[in-house]
Amino acid sequence: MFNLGQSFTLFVLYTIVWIVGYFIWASRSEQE
Amino acid sequence: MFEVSSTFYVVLVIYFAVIVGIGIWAGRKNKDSEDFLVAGRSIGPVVGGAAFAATQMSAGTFVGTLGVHYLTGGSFLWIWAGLWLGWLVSATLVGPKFINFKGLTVPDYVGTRFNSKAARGISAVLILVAYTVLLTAQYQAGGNIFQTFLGIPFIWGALITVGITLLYTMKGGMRATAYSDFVQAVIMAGCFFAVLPMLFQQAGGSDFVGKFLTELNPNITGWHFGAKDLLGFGASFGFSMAAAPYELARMYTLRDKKTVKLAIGFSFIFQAVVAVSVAAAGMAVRTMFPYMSTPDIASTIMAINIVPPVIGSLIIIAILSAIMSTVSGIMMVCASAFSHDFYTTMINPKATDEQRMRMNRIAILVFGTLPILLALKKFDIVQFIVTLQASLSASFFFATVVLGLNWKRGTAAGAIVSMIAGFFTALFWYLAGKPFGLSEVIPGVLVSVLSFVIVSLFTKPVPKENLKHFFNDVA
Repeated sequence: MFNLGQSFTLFVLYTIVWIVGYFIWASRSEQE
Repeated sequence: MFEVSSTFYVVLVIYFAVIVGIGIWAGRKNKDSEDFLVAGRSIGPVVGGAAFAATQMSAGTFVGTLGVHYLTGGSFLWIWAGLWLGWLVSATLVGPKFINFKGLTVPDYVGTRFNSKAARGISAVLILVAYTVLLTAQYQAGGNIFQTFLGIPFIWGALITVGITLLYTMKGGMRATAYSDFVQAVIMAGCFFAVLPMLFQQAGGSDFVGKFLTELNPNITGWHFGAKDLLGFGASFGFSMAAAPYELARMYTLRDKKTVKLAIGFSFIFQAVVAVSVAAAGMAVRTMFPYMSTPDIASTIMAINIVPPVIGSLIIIAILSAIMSTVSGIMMVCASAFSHDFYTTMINPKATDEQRMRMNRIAILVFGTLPILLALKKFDIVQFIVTLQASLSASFFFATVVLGLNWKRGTAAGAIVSMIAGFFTALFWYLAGKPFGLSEVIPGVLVSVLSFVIVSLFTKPVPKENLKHFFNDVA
């Protein structure tokens, strides 16, 4: 979406992975 | 001054009407004082997540942080990673246990877990002092916004901010705070995200912004802050967030353990949208106005000079929302610390529910208006506490909350020593000029953890009666 440099782009990618990973953990931990 | 269109006043009146309406609706739904303090433990994951995010984000996020991005570029975004680690500690080690306990306030947890009125009293006093003063900074921000954008005198701006927030918080308690936070979080995230396409179009497109900023200073699109800086900031925010009393109090309002975990996930979404939008906005404004006298005015310039008045109005409403949601959450935490932990627990344990409700509202009024006097007097100590409150409360509460909930051997003496030792270590570290460039929160938390463990091992364990609320394997 934006071409604002490495620190910005890497953070956007990190955020997506963090949020998806978190929701996977949250739903799995409640199923156990 | 902002060129005020009538549209702005219409939007402002609608906004105030909606949140006051939420207060009135919530007041009707509340059946007793417990409902008033914890919203009937009925809040779901989306509203709860928005409330976590809205309480955490204040005027500083949209003014100070946007200014930092204006000046230094994208690398400051990485402080959110540290902050989210703190939230992860909260989701795994704190929130689910708070839900099981079904308390009403944070000192309620301290008093019950450690079987100690002294520990409860000490934690309530710290909350009252630190947060009453913290409200002062939010009122000053509210007054400044009305003065800067609308030309309304500072005191009237502060009074409007306080008055509306008091109205809905006193009427609807924690339920009103949670639902108004939801509306305010949507406004904050929505407005700043929606303004980006227009902002970048005016700045010449994202490719141009990237190239321009790289030529201006390669660190803006690269790494102005290195790993050491970011780890320091991240640890400081993370420790603060893992045991922040104004967020812990929200845990009690949620339905169950699953809701706590999902709510924290939804709060990440709100926080991420705001974080990325504020960073991108700061960098776009830098491209259009590269040499401002102070980066703190970047968001003001954006609202007044760059976007059309209607969009500018929405940006102002978003900043006001950030202030009011923080104020409302803090008002509730202060009022409940007084009404529940002093009045109901220590002064008048036989109080009827009607008396408790009255005391809740009186406490909101008193602790909500007291900071106005502090804001007008401009005491130096106010700014000092505001700067340090996150570090001090983390150093004070981290061991007591995180270890207390997960280590049965923790005792009242351990908690009291750790709260006091952590607090003073952070304070003296700051006063000593932060030796080794280390943020005061790191030695503060370290000392509080060590003193909690050492003193607990040498003192009498807490009775099982108290532990069973927090540990499933204690009968």
